[in-house]
Amino acid sequence: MKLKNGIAGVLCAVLSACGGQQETTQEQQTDIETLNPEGQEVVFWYQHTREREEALQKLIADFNQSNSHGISVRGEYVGRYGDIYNKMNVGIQSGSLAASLVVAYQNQAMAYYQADGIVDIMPYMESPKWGFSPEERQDYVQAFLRQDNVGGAQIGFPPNRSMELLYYNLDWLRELGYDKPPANWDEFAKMCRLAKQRPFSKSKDTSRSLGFLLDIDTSRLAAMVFSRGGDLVNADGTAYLLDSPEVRAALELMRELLAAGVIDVAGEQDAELNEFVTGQILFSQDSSSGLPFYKSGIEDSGLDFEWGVTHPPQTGETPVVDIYGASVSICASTPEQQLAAWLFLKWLTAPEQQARWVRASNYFPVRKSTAKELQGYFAENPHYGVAFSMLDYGKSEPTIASYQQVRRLIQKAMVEAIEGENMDQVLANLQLAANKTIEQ
Amino acid sequence: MAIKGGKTWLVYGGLGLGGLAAGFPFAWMLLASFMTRGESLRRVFLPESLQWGNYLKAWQEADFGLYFENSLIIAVIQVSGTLLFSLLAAYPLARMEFRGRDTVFAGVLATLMIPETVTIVPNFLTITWLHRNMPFAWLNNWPAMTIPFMASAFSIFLLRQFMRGIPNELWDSARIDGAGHVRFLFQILLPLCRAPLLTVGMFTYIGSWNALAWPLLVTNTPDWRPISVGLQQFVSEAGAEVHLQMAGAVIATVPVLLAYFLIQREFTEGISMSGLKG
Repeated sequence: MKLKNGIAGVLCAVLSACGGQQETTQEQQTDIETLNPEGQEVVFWYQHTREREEALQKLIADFNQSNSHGISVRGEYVGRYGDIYNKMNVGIQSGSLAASLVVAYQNQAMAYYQADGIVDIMPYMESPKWGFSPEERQDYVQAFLRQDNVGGAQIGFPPNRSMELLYYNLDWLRELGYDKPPANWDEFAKMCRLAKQRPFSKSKDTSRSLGFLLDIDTSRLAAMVFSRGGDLVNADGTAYLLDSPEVRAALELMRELLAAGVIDVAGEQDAELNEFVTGQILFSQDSSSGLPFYKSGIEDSGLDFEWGVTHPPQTGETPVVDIYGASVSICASTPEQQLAAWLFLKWLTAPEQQARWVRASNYFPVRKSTAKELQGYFAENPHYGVAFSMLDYGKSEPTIASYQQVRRLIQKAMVEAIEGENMDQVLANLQLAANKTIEQ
Repeated sequence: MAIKGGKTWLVYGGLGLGGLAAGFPFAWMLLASFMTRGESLRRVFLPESLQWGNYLKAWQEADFGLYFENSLIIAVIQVSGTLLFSLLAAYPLARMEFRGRDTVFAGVLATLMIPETVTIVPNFLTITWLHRNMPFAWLNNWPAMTIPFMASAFSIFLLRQFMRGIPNELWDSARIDGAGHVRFLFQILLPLCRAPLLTVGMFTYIGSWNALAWPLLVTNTPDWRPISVGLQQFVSEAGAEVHLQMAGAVIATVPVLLAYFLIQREFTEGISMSGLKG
């Protein structure tokens, strides 16, 4: 009887807690409707520098001048992603967080959310007064919004996205007897072998001729795994899935090509970009945000060859591409300041601002209707247009809070695997270590 | 005789190779700073013509003028503070007898074993508290950039080791002439400590000049950010412009090199006389 009473008590507590939660959400919703963001100051921490920062500052200035609530946003460069992560963590721990908006990758945002450093954006999105109309909400690429949604909580909001692309040297491919990029990984391997045998005719240093440079980076591997129909986590995103046939196949192919000497490991930052633009490697797998750097690099290298971009080789019928990018989270502060931060975020992702941001940053917009405003840009930048057309095939990397830590474990395993260590052992250890980070 | 000559050549050969290995990155940095982007991408060793414009572009694009000025002011404050506090802390540990002296010294030394990353959060908490409770701003201002580093265990250790080597007769003579500890320290000991003081100053200067993580943590605007932040701006998210980055690196390195060349002799002397040399 005591046990039954105990269980009933626990159930009551759980149910009342659930009810309380609902009430809180409703209360929060009501509160939002009555809030006044008049005259609020918003501090936005970002990682952009130079041209991108200039463009962002211009957007911020326009918002400050045009918004009807007298909200004032101040954009601050606070270092690269890692620096921002440190600054946020220290700020949260010391209770002196100076930001109202912060750029964060999904796993970083998850860590902030768990530490109560940021708030759920969903109530703002759904607010009848401050949120989206159904048409506006539908205009967002839903997959992008889902990337930041963890268990119903919107822990970030995407201002832009990038995609993992395969850059290819079309002139060199033609010299090798092909007129298009590889459709599958077997063809990719074959082309890499040929590239080793027959250097690019325009290359100024034919002593180094390779198919590909493997950058030891988790996103590179993730794209290879996605393209084989795999994933890095299980279906409900609660555990890592790294000892899988797709991860194994990706690493085994890289190991095999490396052993044959037809590919190499990127030994320095931007090595794949440098060697691609100088005609030393046939393919480069890199972020779409690098498109302007590839374009200007090829012009500056003086080789002037025809090149293109596509999705990584596939095993299935429909391509799957790795889409990623940092989002913006709203930091926990006063309700008025949070609302003001949201209003800026909403304004920043409106099609007009998105088009301006795309032109300056070369990122992908997050609202479909932006495409209408970008027709001229597509014509001027055909490679960007090609990449843009693949947005529908997007898939995102894990949003588990420990993913930052697991990225490092994956990179270590990549090195071990390509160096010839026992693959079974490497993957089993990786799987174990990665899932341990969740328990921790 | 022949064996001795061979040995000498071997030593010189080894030293030459070491020098080459140490000097190569500098040479490459200098050469790359004069290249076009195409040349840096093609990894040529020598630029076809010297692109002096890279320096102007780097200076203007990264706002080096402001960062340079900030770094200089921060370095001057930090070096002055470190020298003063290290001197005052090292003197009693080296020359005065009091109960618990060795324990205090062991405590100072023990702080050397704590990794810097561990101290970041407590340091930040202290600075935030001071920022809230002091009449002047600490965050986004020079105090946060300099004061936490003025108490340096390494500098105290270095000066203490040097001071212990000074003969007691000097102190005895000073006392006969009526000098107390303060006068003895500033009028007699200080001129003798020139070499270790310059060494401490040099180490502090290099540390302050190269700092990046802490300045990013305690500043939100460029007003007090050092030159390393300007340099970081050249590494954009999707591709570095190596030629500009190297021009920026040369600009950032020159003051440190100049300072080192100016006090090279005293620096070596300071290291060897304080027992740090192996």
